[in-house]
Amino acid sequence: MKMSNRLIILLILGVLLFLMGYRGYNWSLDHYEYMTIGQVTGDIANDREAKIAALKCMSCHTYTQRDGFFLQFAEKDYTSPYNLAVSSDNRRLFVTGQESNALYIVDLASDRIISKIPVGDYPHSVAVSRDGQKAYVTNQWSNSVSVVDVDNGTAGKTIKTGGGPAGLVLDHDEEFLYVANTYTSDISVIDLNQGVESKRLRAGNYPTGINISPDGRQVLAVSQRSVLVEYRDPPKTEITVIDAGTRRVRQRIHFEEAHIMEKVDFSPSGDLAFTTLVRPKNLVPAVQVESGWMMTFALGVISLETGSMYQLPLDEPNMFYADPFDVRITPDGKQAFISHSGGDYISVLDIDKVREVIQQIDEGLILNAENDLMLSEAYITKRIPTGSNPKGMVMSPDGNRLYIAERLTDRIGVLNTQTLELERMITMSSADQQALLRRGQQLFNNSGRTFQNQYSCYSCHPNDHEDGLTYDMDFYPGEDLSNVQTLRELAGTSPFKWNGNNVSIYMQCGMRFSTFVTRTEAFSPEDLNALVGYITSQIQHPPNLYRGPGEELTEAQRRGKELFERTRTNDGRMIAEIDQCITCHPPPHFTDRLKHDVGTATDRDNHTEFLTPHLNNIYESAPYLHDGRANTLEELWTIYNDDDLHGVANDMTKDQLNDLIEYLLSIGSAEYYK
Amino acid sequence: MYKKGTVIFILIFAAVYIGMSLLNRSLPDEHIIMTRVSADSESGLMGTGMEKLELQNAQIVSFDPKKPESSLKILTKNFASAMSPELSLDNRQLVFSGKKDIDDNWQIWMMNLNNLRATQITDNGRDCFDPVFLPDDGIAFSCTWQDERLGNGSTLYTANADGSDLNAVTFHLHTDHSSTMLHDGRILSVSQKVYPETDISNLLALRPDGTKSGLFYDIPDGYQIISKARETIENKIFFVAKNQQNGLSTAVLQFSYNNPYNSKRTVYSSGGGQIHSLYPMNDGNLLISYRENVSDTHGIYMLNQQGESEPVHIDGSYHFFEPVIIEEKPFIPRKLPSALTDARNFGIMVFVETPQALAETGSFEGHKIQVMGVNGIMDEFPVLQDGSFYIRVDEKTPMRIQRVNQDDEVVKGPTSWLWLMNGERRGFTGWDERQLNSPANRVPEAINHPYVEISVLDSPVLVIQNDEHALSEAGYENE
Repeated sequence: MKMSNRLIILLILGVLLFLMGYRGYNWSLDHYEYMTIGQVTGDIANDREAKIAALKCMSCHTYTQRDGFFLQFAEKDYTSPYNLAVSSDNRRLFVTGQESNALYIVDLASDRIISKIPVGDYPHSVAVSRDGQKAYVTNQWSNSVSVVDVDNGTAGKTIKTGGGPAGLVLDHDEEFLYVANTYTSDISVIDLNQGVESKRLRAGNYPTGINISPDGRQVLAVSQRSVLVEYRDPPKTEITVIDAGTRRVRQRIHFEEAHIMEKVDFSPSGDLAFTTLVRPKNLVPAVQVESGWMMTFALGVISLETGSMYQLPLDEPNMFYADPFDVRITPDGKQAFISHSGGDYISVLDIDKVREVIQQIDEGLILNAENDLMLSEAYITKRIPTGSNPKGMVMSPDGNRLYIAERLTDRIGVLNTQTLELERMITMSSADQQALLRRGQQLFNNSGRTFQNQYSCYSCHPNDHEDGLTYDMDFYPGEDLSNVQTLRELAGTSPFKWNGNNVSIYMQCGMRFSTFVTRTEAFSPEDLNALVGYITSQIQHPPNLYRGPGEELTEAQRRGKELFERTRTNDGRMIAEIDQCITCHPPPHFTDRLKHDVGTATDRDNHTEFLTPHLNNIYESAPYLHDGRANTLEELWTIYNDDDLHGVANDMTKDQLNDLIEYLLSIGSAEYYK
Repeated sequence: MYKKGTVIFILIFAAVYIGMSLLNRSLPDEHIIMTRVSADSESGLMGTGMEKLELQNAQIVSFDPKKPESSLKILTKNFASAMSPELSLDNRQLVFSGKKDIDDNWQIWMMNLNNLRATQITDNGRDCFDPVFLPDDGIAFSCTWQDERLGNGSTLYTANADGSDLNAVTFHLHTDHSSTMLHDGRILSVSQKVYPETDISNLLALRPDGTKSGLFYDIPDGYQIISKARETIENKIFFVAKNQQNGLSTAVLQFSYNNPYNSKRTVYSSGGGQIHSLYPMNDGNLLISYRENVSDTHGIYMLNQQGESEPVHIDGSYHFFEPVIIEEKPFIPRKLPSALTDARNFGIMVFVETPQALAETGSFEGHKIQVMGVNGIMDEFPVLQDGSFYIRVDEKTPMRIQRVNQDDEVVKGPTSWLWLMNGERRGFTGWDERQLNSPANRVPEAINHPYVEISVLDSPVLVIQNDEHALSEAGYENE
C-alpha cells in the first residue's frame, strides 16, 4: 500500500477514534451532570471537566457500589470502640469494638490491649462483675449476650435476648442482668444463675440505655424513640422504671418534646437521675436553623424523690452541641460529664449548679428553662474537645479518670477529672482513620458541617436509620410534610426523596442539602465523595427480626406473600396490574423506583404522586407514608386506602390483612431476593 | 557530567526567579497596614459610621514592626484621602475607601499588594466606605443615603471583587458600617437606627445575601460602639466602645461568639486616654490605636492578654489608627449558600410565642398584630390563640411589627426594622430580638391558616436603588 493511502487510512481511523472518544467523553460528562447536577459550586461550578476531576468517576463507580469489586480493598480493620466498663480495681478496661465484633481488655497500667475476645455481631455494651471474673457483652445484631470468662479470655455461654440488645446492667447481687432490647422495645431480665432469660418486660420505643440506682432498688431504661402519639403531636419518650426487687415495671414516665435518650446515670445519693436527650422541632416549620429552630440538645433530670422532670439545655445561643450520648457522674456527685458524639466534645457540668437551677425552676424563678439557650452558662463549666464521635464513657472507681470511647478515631481518651485535661490516649487499632469511607463515616456523624454545629446526619438518622419523625421542610410551612426515611442499604433504590427529585446521593447531599438543610458551606468534592461512599456502600440493615437469614417463611408469611403477589380479588375479579402490590413493589428492593398517585396525598401536599418506597426491612421504619400519617402498616389499608388506590386490599379479611403484614414484616435485605 | 554553561544558566535562572519572587512581595508577613492623618486633623477622627467620612488627607501606610527605625511606606500616595484598609483572606489584596480628589465621594478601591496598584471598585454619587472581603472573594461595604424626612443613613452592599453584581443587602432605616466577617460566614456590622432616631448602635449579623439579618449583640447601656468588632480564632469578639456618660472614656470590650450575653468582659479601659480601633493578632495580643491624652496623637500599641500595652509605632505628627496586620487569617469564614430565588419576589415569616409569654398573657382575645412600614401601618390582623402569626411580605420591604391590645395600646414591640429577601424564610420566637429561646415543639396555629399577605401600601422609601449604584464597567487603575 502506498504511503499516502496508509496516511489516509490512519487519518480516517484517527478521526473515527476522536469522534468516538469525544462522543463517549461527552456522554460521560452528560451522565455526570445528570447524577450530580448542581452539586459542585464555587470556582468550578461552570467547568464540567473541573467538576469531574473533583467528584471523581472512580469514587462513584467503586465505593458507592454496595457489592463493588473495589470495596474488598477498602480499609476494614476498624475497632470502633462503642461502650466501656472498668474493673473495680481500676486495672482493666473493657471495650466493645462495634465494627470488629470483639471485646477488648485493656491493661490500664500499660495502656495495652491484653486480650481481644470475639463475641457476637455488633457488640454494644459491656458490664463486668465486681470480682472482675466475668464480662457480659450485648450483641446487638445477634440478639444475645456473650458471657466472657475474663481470665481465660474466651466468650463462653451465649444467652438469647430480645431483638437488638444494647445497654445492660447487673443488679447489686449480680443475680440478674437487665438488658435493653432496642429493636423489640423490651427489657430482658436474665437469671444469671440459670443462664437464661427469665422474663421480658415491655419498655418504651427503642430502649437503649439502662442503669441501676445506687441503692440497687430500681432500674431505669431510657428510650431513643417516642411512644405512639397523636399525629402532629410532639414526641414524648419513655423512661421505664423497674422495681429491682420484684423485677416488674413500676412506672412509665415520659419526657415531653424529647427523644434519642441514649444513656442514664444517677447521683451517688440516688435522688436524681440524668439522661441525655434531643429536643426535636419537627412540628415547627424548618424556616431556619438559627436559635434552635431545628433541634436542641439537653440533659434530662428526674427527681426520684418528687417525680419532677427537667430538661436543661446543653447548647448556647450561637453554638450547639449535637447528639449527646453518654452521661457520667463523679462518685462525689459534684460533676457530670456528657459526651457529644456529633460535636466531638465533652461537656462538664457542675451538679451543685444544676441543683440550684432546678430549685429556681421549682420556685418559678426560671420559666421556659428547656428552651432557654442562655441557661447552660449556669451549670456548664467546660467544653473539652475529643476525637471523632465520642460515645460511651466510664468513670474510674475513684472518680479521678474518665475513659471515653472515641469511636471513629479508634481511641480511648483518658480525661483527668481533676484538671479536666485529656491526659493520654489508648490506641485501639492501627487502621487508617483518614481512609475515604472512614472519613465519610466521620462526616456523617459530625455536626461541624451544619450552621453553628446544629446537627449531624446522625441527628435525624440515628444509627444510620431514621428517627421516626416527620419534618416540615417545605418552603410554605405546613405543606409537603416529610417523613424521614432510612439510610440503610440505599444502593439500587435511586431516585431519592419522597418526590423522587434526587437521582443520586451526590445530589441528595450536595448543594441543595447545604442550602436548605445544613445552611452552611457545602461539602468539598473530596468530602462529598467520602460521605456518599459511606452512605451508599457501608450502611446495612440489622438482621430482620421476623425472618432470619436463610429461614423459611412461616405459614402466615407464606399466605401473605401470595396475597402480595395475587392477581385476583377474593371474589375472583382480576386486579389490574397497576393495582397489584408487586407491580410497584417488585423485589429485590420492592420498589419500581417510580412515582405513583396512590391516593395518599392530602390537601396540604403540592403534588399527588410519590416515589414508591423500598420495602426492605420495612418493619423497622414506622411511621409510614410520605408524611408519617400511618402509625402501623395495618393503617395503610384500614385507614388510608378507601378507594383501593394503594393496591386493591379492601376485599381482604382481617386475617388476610394480618398475613399480608406478616409477609411485609419479613422482607429482609435486598441481597436475599436477587 | 553537565556542561558548565548549563549549570550557570540554571543558577542564573534560579537567582532571577527568587529575586523576582522577593520583589513581588512588596509587603511581607507581619507588616502592619494602617490609616494615618496629620496630628492637627481631629475632624472625623473619633467619629463612627458616617462621621468618619469627614476625615481629610488621610493616608494608608505600611510599617514593619521588626524594623521600627525604618520609614513608613505610603500606599495611597495618589489619593486625596484613604482609610479603612482590610486585607483579603490570602493577604494578597487590600481593599479600602478612598477618594482621588478632595471633592470626590468616598469610593471603594482594591490594591494588589504585589505591585501596589489600586483599582476602583465602585463609582457612584454616594460615599461608599468600610469595605471587607467576603469568603467568596467578593466584598461588602457601606454606601450612604439621604432623605429629607428620614435622615441620613448607610446601606450595606455586596459585590464581586471587580465591582460587578452589586446588591444592597440591608433594607432598614439604619446606618450600617464597620463590617467584618464572622467565622460562620455572616457579616457583622455596626448598625444604628436613624429613623425614628436613636443613639444606640448595636451589632447586626446577616448572611451575605441579606437574609437572616438580626441583632447579634446589643451594646450595654451607656456605651456606644466606635470600632469594627473583630472575631478571633478562639471565637472571642473584640471591639472598642465609648462610654456615653463620659465622652472621652473608651474601653476594649470582649464577648464570646457562642454566648454573647453571658460573656461580656472589659479587657482594657483607656482611663483618661482614648482607644480608636483594634485588631486581634494570632498570638492572642491586640493591636490597638490609642492615645494617652486627648492632646496626644494616636499611636499603635500592642495590648497583651494581661492588659499591659507597649508602643509599636508612635509619631507625634500623625494619628495612626485602623491597624491590620499581614499574618495568616485566624479562620476562613464559611461560604454560606444562598436560598434566594428570582422565582419569588417575597419572603415569609413565622412567629411563635414563648411558653412563658403564653402563660403570662393568658389570652390574646382582641389583640392585633400591626405591620408598619415607613409611612405608617401597612397591615393589621388578629392574633391567633397561641400568639403565632405567618406573613408573606414583598421582598426588601422595611417593616416593624408590634402587638396591640383591644384598646390599641402597644403591648409588644415595635420591633427594629426588619425585611425579607426574595425567597427568604424567617422564624422568630417571642419578641426579644436577641432570640435567646428556641421554639417549643408545637405546630404553630398560624400555619394551619393561609399566610397573611402584607399589603405594602406605601412603597418603601429606602432611597437606595441598585441602578443608582451602577459601577464603572471597568475600573481604572491608579496611575
